[in-house]
Amino acid sequence: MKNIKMAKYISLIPGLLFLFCISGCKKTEYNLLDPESAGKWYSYNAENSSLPGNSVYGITKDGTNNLWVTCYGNGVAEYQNGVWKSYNLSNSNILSNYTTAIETTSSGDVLIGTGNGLSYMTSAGAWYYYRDASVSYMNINTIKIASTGAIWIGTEGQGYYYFGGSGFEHYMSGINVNAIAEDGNGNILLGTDNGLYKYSGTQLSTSSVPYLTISDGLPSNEITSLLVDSKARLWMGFYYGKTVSCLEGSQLHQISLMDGADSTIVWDIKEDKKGDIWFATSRNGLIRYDGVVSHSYKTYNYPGEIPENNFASICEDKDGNMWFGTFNSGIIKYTLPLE
Amino acid sequence: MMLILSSLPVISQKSSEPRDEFTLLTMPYNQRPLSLYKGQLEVNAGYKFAVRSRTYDSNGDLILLKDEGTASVYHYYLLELKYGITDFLELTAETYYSKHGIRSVTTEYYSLSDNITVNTLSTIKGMGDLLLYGTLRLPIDFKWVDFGIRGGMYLPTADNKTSQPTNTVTNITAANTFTVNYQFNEKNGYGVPVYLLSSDLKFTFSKISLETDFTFKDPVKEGQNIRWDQSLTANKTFTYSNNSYQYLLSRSFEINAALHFQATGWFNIKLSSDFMKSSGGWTEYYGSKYKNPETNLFVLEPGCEIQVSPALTIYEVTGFPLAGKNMDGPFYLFITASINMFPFFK
Amino acid sequence: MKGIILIFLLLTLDFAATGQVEKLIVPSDLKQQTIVTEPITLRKGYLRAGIALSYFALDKYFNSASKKEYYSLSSWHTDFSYQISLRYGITDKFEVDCSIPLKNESTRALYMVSWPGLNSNISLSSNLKGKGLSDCELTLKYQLVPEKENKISLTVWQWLTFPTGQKNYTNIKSFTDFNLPVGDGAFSTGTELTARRIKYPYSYSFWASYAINFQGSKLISQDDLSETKFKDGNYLMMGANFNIHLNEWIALANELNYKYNQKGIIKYTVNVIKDPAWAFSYQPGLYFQIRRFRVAEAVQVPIMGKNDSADPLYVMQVFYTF
Repeated sequence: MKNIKMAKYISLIPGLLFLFCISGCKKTEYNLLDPESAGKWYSYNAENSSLPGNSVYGITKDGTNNLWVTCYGNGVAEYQNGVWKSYNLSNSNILSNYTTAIETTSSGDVLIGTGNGLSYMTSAGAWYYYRDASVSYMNINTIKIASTGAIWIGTEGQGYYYFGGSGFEHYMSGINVNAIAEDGNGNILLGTDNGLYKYSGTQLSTSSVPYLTISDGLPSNEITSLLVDSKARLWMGFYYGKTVSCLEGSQLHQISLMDGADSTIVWDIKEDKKGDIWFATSRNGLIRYDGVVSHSYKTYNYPGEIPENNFASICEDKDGNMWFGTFNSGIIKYTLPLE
Repeated sequence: MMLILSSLPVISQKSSEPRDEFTLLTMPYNQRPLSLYKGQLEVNAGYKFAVRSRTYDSNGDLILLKDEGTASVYHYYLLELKYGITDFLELTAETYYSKHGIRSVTTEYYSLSDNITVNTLSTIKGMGDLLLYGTLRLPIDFKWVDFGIRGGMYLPTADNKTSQPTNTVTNITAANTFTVNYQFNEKNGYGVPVYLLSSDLKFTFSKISLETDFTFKDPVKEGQNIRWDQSLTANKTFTYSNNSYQYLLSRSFEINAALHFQATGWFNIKLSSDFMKSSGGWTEYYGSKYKNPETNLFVLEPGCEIQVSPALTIYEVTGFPLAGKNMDGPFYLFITASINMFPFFK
Repeated sequence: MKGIILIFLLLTLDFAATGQVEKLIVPSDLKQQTIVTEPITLRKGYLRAGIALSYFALDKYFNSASKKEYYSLSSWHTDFSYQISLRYGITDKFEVDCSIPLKNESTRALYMVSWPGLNSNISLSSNLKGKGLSDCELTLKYQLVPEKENKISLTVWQWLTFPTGQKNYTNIKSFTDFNLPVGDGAFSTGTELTARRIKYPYSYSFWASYAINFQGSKLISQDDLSETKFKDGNYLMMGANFNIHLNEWIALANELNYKYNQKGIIKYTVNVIKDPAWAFSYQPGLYFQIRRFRVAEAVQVPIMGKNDSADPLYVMQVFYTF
């Protein structure tokens, strides 16, 4: 009797082992990241990498998720497989080495704003340019590719240019258009020195009424940066402001940058994967707003990791890492911490 | 002579002797097999009080949380039901409830016109999953050696989804002068079934016993949880949103070795050492999967068993963490009351 | 015959742990009675000395809405104190007790302060300790209705607490570096009435007390330059206690008690009122009587309350009766 009982119990063991094996087989294998690599700062400049220059005013990513940056005075560079490949006057037909803004289209074309016109490189490597001959200079501040495929170019003192498929159209001459964004309804928003303008189908002119100004509650009319985030909030950064503005629905409220400065220039605003909002500022480093409190990232509290306090541009790569362009120290990559 | 022998509980039992309930219930530890006797029902209710005043970092260095003001206490309540199907097979159901609040360092942010104080508290509270397992031991009467294996599963009966935070804003003295109190609320459930496999070996030499056991846990599959995000509105209230994320629990194994001394028939003292290690698994953060950090903890546990009456035994164990990695090392005191009976058999 | 007697004795020994049979006790055994069987006051000439260790960690409290909340600041306060107690039976119905508490508390905190405008992050830490003799207490107990088996007794207690502990913050070097006070700084006295009945193997009692806190003066906070008069609220306590033998030498004690603190006052230029507080607690404990030694472990668990601590107090005691 004992032997039969033993047999019954022993037969349980293969069953347990079988179940154990199934458990090992059911799980998918992934390429996993090391948690020690999170929350780290990496610096790339002309001295420690193949980045051609240290003044990175614009950053974007293309359809293949490669990064493109402008290096003022040294053309542009593409970051692919850990190497920066540069495009400048000596090795390409770029219009100028003094590059100020950059954007890519869904077809892989690269639009490069310069101090005097627009350079355009197709995905096949062909170069074109546009410079408005009717103006004495065409200093490009910002480029926006709308969801319709239309191209919007904001300039310094020359208003904006619109390309809808049949030539560039010029509007609002005399106005500085510093930032352009698109909301969830396809409206184009222009941040200018005269407040916020909204394009809803009819092109704007110098006599158009701004959508938002100081009289509507903005702390300043000089808007330098715009962002429409994943929650459909419109963020506005200013030239010499203590706060940024957030338009949520019809409610406008101010978020303190808490960087201790009397005034801060916010050159760029981006959202990371966590939903935090990053501000690139002049003289006051990076600021991250977590939804409740603004946190400063400056040379003093991240010595050796943040090389200077003047930031011009922000972009997020395909892996969720944040890239920050500085005025004089190249570009910094930040891997988001695991919080 | 037989009466004298039966009245001295430390002497090993003879398999041919008839066994009465009293003898079985008062069997001292060094003579007790690894599973319950046939028909024996055991109910264990325990309480563990732990002081989380130290933790070990990724290098195994000790960090004193009390120096950062972030030490905390946790309360753990255990309920376990065991039944001896036969003298060699036992079934067990076990669950627990625990609650714990972990504070982070208070931070104050100042600027020219702002003063925001941020307090952060993470609570982990709720029932644990139900563990069901069977224990199978050697089909022989215990004399000086016993071996058993256990197999079972944690069933995801407890809630694992993180609850919405209960953040508050207090001390509002100006538009930009206030205190934010974050409170994140997590649960104890695994969220997925977890296998448990264990083996146990026991040797007894007169009054001294050595017991070692090895336990392995492995999750059956990947799980899903949610992560919350919050925003402060202009009127100082919070709005919340959440995103789901995937995870795979780490596998873990635990080795325990205990030396017991049966001082008297009703009093047993032990010194046990416990080593636990977990590895593998991953957690998704913002679209990327990060490996779970490898953890381990080594604890020394002196304890005792006091047989108060045939039906009631009290176990007391204290835990002293000695080394670890990526894990908290709390000091704890664990007291368990064990009720034993033969409810169905005479 | 001898064999039968031997067998009988052995059988008795064998089943000793299961039997709840009350034995005849001799005078030396009277000092080994348990909390269930011993009288409420020590017998004449008996001296009991003991030491109690208590541990308490500040984690939660009952707020003004009687809701349990965690403390939110990053600070860790613990109180790991000792108390020496001496009890002496002057007569079989009258006893005098003396308690000498030695406090050992600690508060550690860490705060981070960030001033981006000043390019400054600092951490402020404090490690405050309070060690030393606390407020001693003298208690007199008298059995108004003496204890008799299976009959209810009535005992009155009168205690007086002396402010022997350091009442002020001392050694103040900075706002993060000073010693905590270990005494309350005022006299207090109270009276308790206890009705008790022993019915082997258990005993139960009901009690109620009222205590008066007298006015005192002390430094209310470490910033104060001079002492301020204050008066803590008087308090009312009542409870019920049920102790039962688990076996001959282990007893399980259970107590439910309620405490209500009336409002207190701090007499600043503008009086500050300390809100009234109350708490309802459960206190289980195990008492081991090993000859004349008594070892006890108990925990007081606040179940409900208002403006009071919600953290358990863990106590371990050892007594010896001479």
